[in-house]
Amino acid sequence: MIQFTKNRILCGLMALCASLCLPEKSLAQGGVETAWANSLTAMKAKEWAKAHAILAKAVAQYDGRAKTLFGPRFGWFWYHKGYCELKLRQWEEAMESFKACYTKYPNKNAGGAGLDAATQGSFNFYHKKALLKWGDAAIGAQDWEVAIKMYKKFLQERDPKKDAYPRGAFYVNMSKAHFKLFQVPGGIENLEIAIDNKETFPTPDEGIMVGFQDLVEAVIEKQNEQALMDFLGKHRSDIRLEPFKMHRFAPVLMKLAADALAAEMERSAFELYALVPSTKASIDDIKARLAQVGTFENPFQDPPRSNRQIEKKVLEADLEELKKQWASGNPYEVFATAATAYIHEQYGNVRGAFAAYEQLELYHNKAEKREENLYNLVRTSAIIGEVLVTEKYGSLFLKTFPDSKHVESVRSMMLTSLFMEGEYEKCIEVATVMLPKLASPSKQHDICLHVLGGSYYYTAKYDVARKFLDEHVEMYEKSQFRMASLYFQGSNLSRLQYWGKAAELLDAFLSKYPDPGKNIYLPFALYDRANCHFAEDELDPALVKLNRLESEFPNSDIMDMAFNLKGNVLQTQEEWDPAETYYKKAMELAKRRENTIVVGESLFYLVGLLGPEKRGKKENPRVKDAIPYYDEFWKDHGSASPYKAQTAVAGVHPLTVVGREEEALERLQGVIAELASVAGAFGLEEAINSYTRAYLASHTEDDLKEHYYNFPGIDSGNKEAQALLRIALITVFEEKGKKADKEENANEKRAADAMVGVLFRDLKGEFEPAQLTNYVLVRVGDYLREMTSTPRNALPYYSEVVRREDQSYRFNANFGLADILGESTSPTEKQKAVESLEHIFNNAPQKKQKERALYRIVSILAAKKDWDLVTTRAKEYLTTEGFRRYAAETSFFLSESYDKRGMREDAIVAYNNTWASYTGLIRISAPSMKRVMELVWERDNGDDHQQAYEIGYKFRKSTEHLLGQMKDEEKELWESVRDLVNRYEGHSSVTKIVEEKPK
Amino acid sequence: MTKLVLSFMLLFASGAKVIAADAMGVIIYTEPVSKQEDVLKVWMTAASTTQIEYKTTPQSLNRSRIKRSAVKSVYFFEPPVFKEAMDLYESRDYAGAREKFAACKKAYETLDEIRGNYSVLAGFYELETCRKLEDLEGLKKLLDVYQADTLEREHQRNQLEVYPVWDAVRTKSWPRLDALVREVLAEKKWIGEHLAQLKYCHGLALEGLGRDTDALIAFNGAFTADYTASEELTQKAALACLRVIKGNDEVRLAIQLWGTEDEDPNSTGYFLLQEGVALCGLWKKSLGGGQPLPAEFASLLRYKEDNKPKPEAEEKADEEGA
Repeated sequence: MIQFTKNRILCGLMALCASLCLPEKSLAQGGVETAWANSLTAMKAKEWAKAHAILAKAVAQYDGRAKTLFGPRFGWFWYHKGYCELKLRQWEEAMESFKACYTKYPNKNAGGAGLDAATQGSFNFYHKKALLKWGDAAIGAQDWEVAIKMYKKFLQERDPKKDAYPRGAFYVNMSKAHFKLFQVPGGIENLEIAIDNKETFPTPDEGIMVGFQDLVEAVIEKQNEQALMDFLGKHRSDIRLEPFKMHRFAPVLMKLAADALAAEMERSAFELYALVPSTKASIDDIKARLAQVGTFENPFQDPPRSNRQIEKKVLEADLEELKKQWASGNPYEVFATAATAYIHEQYGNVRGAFAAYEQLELYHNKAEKREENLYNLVRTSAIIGEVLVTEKYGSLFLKTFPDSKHVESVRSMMLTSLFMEGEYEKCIEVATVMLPKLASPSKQHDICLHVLGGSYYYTAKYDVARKFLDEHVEMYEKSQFRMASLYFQGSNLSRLQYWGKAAELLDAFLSKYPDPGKNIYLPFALYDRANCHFAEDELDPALVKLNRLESEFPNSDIMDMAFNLKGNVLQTQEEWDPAETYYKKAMELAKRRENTIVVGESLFYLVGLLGPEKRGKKENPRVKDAIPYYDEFWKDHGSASPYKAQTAVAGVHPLTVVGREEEALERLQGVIAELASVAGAFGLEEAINSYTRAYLASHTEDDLKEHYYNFPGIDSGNKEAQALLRIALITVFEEKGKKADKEENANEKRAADAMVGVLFRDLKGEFEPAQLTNYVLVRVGDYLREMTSTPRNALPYYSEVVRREDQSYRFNANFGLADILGESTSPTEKQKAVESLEHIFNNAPQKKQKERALYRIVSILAAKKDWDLVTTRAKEYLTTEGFRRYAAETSFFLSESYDKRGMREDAIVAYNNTWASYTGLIRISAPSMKRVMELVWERDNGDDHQQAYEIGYKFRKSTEHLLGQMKDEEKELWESVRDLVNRYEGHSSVTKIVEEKPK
Repeated sequence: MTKLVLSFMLLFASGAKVIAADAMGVIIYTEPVSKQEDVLKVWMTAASTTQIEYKTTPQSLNRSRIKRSAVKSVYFFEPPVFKEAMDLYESRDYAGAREKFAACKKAYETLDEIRGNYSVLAGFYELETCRKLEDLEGLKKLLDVYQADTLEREHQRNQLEVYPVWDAVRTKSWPRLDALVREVLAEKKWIGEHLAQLKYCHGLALEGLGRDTDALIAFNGAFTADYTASEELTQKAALACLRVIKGNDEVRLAIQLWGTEDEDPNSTGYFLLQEGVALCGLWKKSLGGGQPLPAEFASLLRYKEDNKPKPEAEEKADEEGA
């Protein structure tokens, strides 16, 4: 409520003083006089309660007779009682007092002729003003309708000459009463009167702002946003005060803005926030004014007689307050900016929210709610995909608020956003720290595990990825990342070359998520599956997958690689021209996509396809066509392509054909030196082997030895490369030995074998298994196993290979291990051998390897005399389509297993099948036959003796002609059958076969 | 002698300016004899680095002078012309305000040696009206001759450091503007009004450089920096966002695929399209300042997720269910 000025009291007091100090005053008047004087003194001293007590006593004592005793002038007491009550905020009482002043003591006929002495000349100067004050009291009492009524009545009845009033405050109060009754147009009308006349009334800025506040409250309540907009459109300059004044209204504006927000009146909220001046601008403005005010302490108006009050003391206090606010870190800007962020996010503009939160962090990082603000900054940056920003502020958050409840959330946001943007190294860094700290299972753990596995997968750390991916698949069946995890799991195994298992998982994945609209990994899974088919020599199924990929997902990211794979498949099928077409398609697509690695790969394939000496068994007429691709490869991809070694190798022949062999050799030598500097570099072994062949075309073996012991670019500390060079050298001397043997050059063979022995010994002595590649380890292991009398010395070499996640030469090592352990007398070691072979059988990509593994399992089980299992596994072998290589031996083992298990009839059938199927294979057929004869003889049922004799006889006869070709041990086996036939023939139960001599 | 020459010069200067006005104010000074501080209500007519010339009544023909060295402070009362100009300025009538500020600048230019004078202050706001009207040529011309030595408030002086950025906008030299804004932004903590300008200009540079996403962030920063108080910049920045979004290739693709089986709600284009829809909503709510959304962008509202047609199969199932 706007108060009237104090000066008006004094004016009234003077008038009353004059009217009461009359010579005819009575005794009663004497008491009133004292009350008047004392109340006046108290009011002057602003002792409102004391004055009120005096005045209340006076009206209680005299009011009944006052009209008669004093006439209208007694209204003074009621008016000032009401005035004291206003000061004491006793609004209801004040309304009653002003009402009494107005209704009981009117001036009608006051001082008129014929009236008694007491009323003669008596005049209530406060009669009309009581209406004004009645209205003020009603404002205080929030009795808005009464306030409006009294104000209007005052305007109607007041004497324009006598009843002056503070017009600015009056119209502001009028507007307030209207606004409080939600009479928005009436409120605005009165507020506009106060504003439009602010210089002449005057209306203080504070009053305008109070009216504006009421206006906003009313429009919020009535949801009449347009009224506020219209008002601001008209009066923005009146509402928007200079910063040195405006800042005082900032709290009110902030509250109103918050109310507007709560009422979903966002435009109003923004308009209100926009009215809040910058704290710094307010500080500047005040400082500038203080500098001008200098030492002038007194308040003054600028311009003179305006409503713009300047007071040094106030400015200084405001400055202090604003500085304090700024130093606290929580100026109004913080709240307005946070609200802005909220509004933007609420309406779906997350980027706007992000911008606001970033401003809060950059400009107001001392704010009380910094933790929330920074968290929201991380959150919104993640939503809009600003990965590096998420990382930056996420790291800052974790560093600044390590104990925050948002820590895990921030970590996961950094993770998911980093992951989505392919920042896999960073994901690994963050998730590795995070994972052990997370409750498991939990949402955060789900995200973290998925991201970690996925990141290792995408960074080609397939061996590490495997356990995380498996764990995720195992733990989070309902995860939002389920589909991705299942795909990664299958694909990862394919990258680890566990072709069988990968194929199984990928098939399950493809059948679980067949809808391309929902499965973004579908084309990738098809590619991986095709790759598995290709690796397992299932060329037609590989083509089926690749054709599907080509027709259904022509724009897939994997398409260029898929074209290359299709080229590989076609090339393997000796479809040379279609293969070339696909390599070219891959190259062109990869060039368009700027996928340089795939371009390099395609070029390598083209060199590899076009450059070899032969195509199948025929001469290759297109060798020279490889040259442009070879040249393009080295021109554009020679520095970065992972296919350097292979291309250098593949290019040796075509370059030799066109007389550029020196260049080819030089290139190969450079590649070898370069690859040698990278641990585990792919292709080094092939490069060395190729180089060896090319070098020997113009040098001797001894030159090669000299050259390889001092290979340019490879220092002696590079054990991996040195070992590969030694192995290459060993291979050369092995070949030399074989050649000498063939040529029956004993001396040369001896020298070559001795060299091989020396080189292997060097290799074994100079290099620790841990320093060697799988290839070298297997070569050394094989040498020790096959060529020395101490095959068990090979165990550390094979074991080192098996211990590693690197799958290359794993199966060779497994076979080597199985061979050694399978020969052991220890059942435990035999069991280890079986396990080693089971690994191959389950995972080997090639059927040949599977076949060999299963056969070796059967043989070791037989050696273990585990006959039940021999039966099972031998049957498995014999019923597997395509397994033929060891069928004879396995058939014999099956027969033997029945035999050993006492299953005579089954044994007889099995042995019969064995010798009948492999008659010419004496080492199998002879013992089978011998055992059938024995079993049948032993059965002795009916003519069994005769039968046993006759089948033996026939076998002997039909195989006798092979005697000349039989090795000694075979001859021995055959002879044991012959001897048995002879023995049975002499038995009394047998009728000897007498053959007629040919005529 | 020097005193005489100076007095003459001051007199000449004040007499030469026919449209010059006297500036009412208060001078607080040290009385030379008593050494006591005293206050003078004056109408200042001219000032140099050493003296202030004034009258003690507006009508007086006599002019007195006081040494600047004796003056402790000068308080200028707000002249009516400045108030009128400010009212127009706050009412966003920048063209009207510009004229008034220019007049005020001229009227009190003889006092521009004194800190807090209304000539330099009006000159500052004249620059601001040019900026708000985006009359960048006019801004450059005024800036070339503007003397800010006696401009009192720090945030106003800071605004002068923002003008070179606008000049780079004028020349449309985007790489230079990008580099300049980044440099300026790193210099200090700017108030919201300045930040809004820097962000907007940066948005223009980034848009010009084809960095759509970065431009969107900068433009968003423009209308969040001072919570839409810079109304004209807010509108321009919001429209710039819509322009960038609408012109984005990935958004075009998202529009093409809208509601089809091939639509990818996780794509960047789809995300930006929805951001455009949100900005259209915000335009109506606040960013547009009551202006209707330009027709060229209204079409974006078609891509509200609520309006998305249901896939045929789903629709059919719904019908059957019904």
